[in-house]
Amino acid sequence: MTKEDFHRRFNARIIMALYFAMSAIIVVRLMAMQVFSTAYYRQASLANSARIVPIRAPRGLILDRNGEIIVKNRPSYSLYLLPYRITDTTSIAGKLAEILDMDRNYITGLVAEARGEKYRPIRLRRDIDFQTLSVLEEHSLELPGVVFQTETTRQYPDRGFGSHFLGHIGEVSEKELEQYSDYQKGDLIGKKGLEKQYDSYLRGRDGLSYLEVTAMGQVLGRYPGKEDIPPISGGTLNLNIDWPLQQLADRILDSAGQGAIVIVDVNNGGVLTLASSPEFDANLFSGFMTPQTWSQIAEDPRHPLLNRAIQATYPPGSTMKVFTAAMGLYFNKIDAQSTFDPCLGQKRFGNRVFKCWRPKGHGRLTLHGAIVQSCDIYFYQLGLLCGIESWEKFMPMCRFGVPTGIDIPGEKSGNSPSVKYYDNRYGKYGWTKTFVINLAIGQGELLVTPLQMAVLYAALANGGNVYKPRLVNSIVDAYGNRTDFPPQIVAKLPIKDEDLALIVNAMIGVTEEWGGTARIVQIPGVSIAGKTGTAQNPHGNDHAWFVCFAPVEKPEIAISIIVENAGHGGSVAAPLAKILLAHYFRISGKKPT
Amino acid sequence: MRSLRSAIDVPLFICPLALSLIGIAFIYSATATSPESQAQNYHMRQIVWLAVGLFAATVLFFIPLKVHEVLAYVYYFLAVAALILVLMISSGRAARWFNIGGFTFQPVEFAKFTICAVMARFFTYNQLKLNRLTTLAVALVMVMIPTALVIKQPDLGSSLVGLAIFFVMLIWSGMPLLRILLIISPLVSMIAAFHWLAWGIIFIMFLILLYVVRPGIPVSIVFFLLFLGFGMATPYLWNRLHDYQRQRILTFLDPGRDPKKAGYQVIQSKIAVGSGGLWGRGYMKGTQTKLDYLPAQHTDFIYSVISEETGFVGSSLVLLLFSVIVVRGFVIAYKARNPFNSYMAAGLSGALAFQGMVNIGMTLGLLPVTGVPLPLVSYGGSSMLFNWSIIGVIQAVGRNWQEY
Repeated sequence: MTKEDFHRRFNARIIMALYFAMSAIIVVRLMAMQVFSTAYYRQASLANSARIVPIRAPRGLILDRNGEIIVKNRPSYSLYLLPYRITDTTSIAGKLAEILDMDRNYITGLVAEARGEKYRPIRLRRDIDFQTLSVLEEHSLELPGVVFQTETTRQYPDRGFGSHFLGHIGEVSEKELEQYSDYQKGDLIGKKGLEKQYDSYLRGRDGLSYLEVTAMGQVLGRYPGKEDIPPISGGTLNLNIDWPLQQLADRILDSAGQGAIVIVDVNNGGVLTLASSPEFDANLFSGFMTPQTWSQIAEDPRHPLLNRAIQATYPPGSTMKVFTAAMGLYFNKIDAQSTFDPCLGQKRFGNRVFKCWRPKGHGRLTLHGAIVQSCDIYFYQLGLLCGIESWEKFMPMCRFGVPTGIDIPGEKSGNSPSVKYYDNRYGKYGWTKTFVINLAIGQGELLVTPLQMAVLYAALANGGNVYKPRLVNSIVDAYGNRTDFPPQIVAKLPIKDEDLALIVNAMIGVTEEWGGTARIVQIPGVSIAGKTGTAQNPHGNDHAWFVCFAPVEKPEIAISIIVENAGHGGSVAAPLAKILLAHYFRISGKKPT
Repeated sequence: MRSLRSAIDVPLFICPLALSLIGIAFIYSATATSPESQAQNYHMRQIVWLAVGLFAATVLFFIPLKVHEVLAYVYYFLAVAALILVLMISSGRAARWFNIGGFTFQPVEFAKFTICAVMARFFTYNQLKLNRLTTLAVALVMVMIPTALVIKQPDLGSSLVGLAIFFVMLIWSGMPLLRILLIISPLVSMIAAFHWLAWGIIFIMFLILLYVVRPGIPVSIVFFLLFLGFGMATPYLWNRLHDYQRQRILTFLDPGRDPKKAGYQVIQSKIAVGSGGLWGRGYMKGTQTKLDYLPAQHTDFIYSVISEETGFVGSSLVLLLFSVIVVRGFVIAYKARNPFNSYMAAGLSGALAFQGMVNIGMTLGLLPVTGVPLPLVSYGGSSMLFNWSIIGVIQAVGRNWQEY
């Protein structure tokens, strides 16, 4: 063999070796991918071609204490665009923008964005009203690629009744997506009230449907071999709310003006009514809201979105006097027979003159008379006698300045001033101990929510138990499992039984005795213990308060009413209580004794 | 008849035919679901091209190889003219094909065949002068003229086929391996120059190689300068590449860097191959293919379709069939006594092997995405015609193995 031949043979083998080396690499690679990583690539392939579409779970209903439906779901139409059928985007966007009152650039933008997946429908608007729907149907020939799909929309009560505590749902925001991991873009989430608080119960669990889609986003049908996962309906919320009573409260409150009415069950803290006026229509939030509607609501000077029952704080006015009295009795500063300087319509403390609401004065009164006639002069002196030190010890025990813990978000805690509070606010020497004079009659920096007053009066009624107010009584999930929310006592009022009897007796006098400030509230057969209040308001007319409970012998409900800028509690708020009490005791079948 | 059967190499006929039929079956699968591509009837066209290819192969089988030897430079001239023409008539768009009466013709396929013929002739006639640098330089220039025109089209993948043929013939000439390494060292320098450390190591190896081979002072100086020059040319050429070519190379190195655009093809191809598993998802049942996630499914990525639908078993079978062709080609080349015939068969086999490896390597994410079709399998008329012509010529070499 020549040297040349040797090299030829050797090199031929080199070429073959190179080829087989490359083939071997390919076989190893094929094996690695197809034999050992099949699952990984199958998953990737599935992720490509299967679009997982949620099957929306029906959201849970909200029922009142008697099973009456307050919030339900109704079918609605949503408008979708099919990009692959749209040939002339500008003309369609122009027409839609006109009919739907939208920005045409927004629509063209949506279509342009979807170019990659032209078969994937784009939701343009939820809950199209019938008028718009029929206009669109009329023009359907000029609008290729515009289709409707039935979906469900939440239906809230008419006239906005109960809207504040029911809340509403809306599309999940970017911030909420970051906050909660189990929501996806386009999902609905509770935004306010019960819808927010109990969202995890109400939403249920969405099901899944596997659809086969092409690279362009065209849906070919169900994914072969993949079963749908059915949705699980949301749980039903059984409220403590008495819906007819709530509606009545809303109606009479609307006619009276702005304010709030809270009715609680004195024996377990169940909330029968939580009304706030003015209301807003929660249905506006569950469908499509135009920016105009939104600004109309948001910029309304009456603040309809504010839930006055729990989010507005007012000076309690004279409704506070029963607690001032309790403080005096608690620290043994007074007893039932104690008297102070007689009421002459006004009294000088230091260099300031404090007036009684009755210019003629009440004369010399004991505690009973002072509560019945709501004498300011008596309580100025009682407050001064006890001092701010007693106040800051006693009032927090009565849960002033502490949120009640009601089961909806956004509750305010109110304010019960203390030495520290005044030091911070006015400086160490910027205030005097005489500030307590104003607090004693429920004025000054003392602030409460209507709900707080209802809960505290309920405690006066039941012997001192401060319950946590609860809107929800129980939840029944899709399988019928019931979760109860039992009554919860959060505090006991620091009032001795005999003191309590003394105070309650005086409160009965408010509605029954001659000179009582709420004699207007009398219902045959039902004894009512209450207290009026007229809270001075630096920004306008006085707020009218009336807080009461009934029947005295075996208390059932406590009512707290405030009507903003309406004047005297006895003449404005108390008559509303009379209507509600009459309704309640007739409905519950109580025979007058 | 008996003489014919002994004259043709049976595996080298059965395997290409099997690959072509498999190709047609999967071209059908790849185009059956989309109405647009169905209307094009790709599989029917491919059947017609297979018939044309078989006819061409038969004709070439009976044409004496001497004819190609004599006409090699005529072929070469025609091919270069066609490549220039295709560049001229198409301003702006990718200039890869002529349109002749509804059929497209890609001169690059003809050029591959031509380079083989002209190189075979050149190597045969200059066998004794191959040690001289000037001889090699002339050969290289002859390869680079059509190659440059193909790069201009732009078709980076196919342009490399010419160089592959050149190196296969260089090896086939029996040149000592180290010398070949020295010859390709400037190219290695060019690739290594992407990173200074890699280049440094290669440079030291280059110096060792020079010391071992001892090609003489002038040649050493020339290669030393070439090595440095090519290394420095890299950054310059990199900037001259088309943006999409640069993207492809970068994407090959890291497909995840742009999964929506440049990396999409590789990612989707790998998903298709991997999800095939051992036995595949079944004919016409690959979702990557059926639902259009796979790019260029009936042309460059046909191997991914086969892999998805027939799994490891089918992918390996195709590779096996292909390897039989390559091996038979080189065996015939080795047996041939006439040097021109031997070079011709080796060059053509090398061209097939190179394209097959580059295409399959691309679908598996081993090599960058270049527009090289899988010979005999991918859809394409010119490709089918000339690959069958290659089979015909190799068979002709086999038939005449005794002739000097």
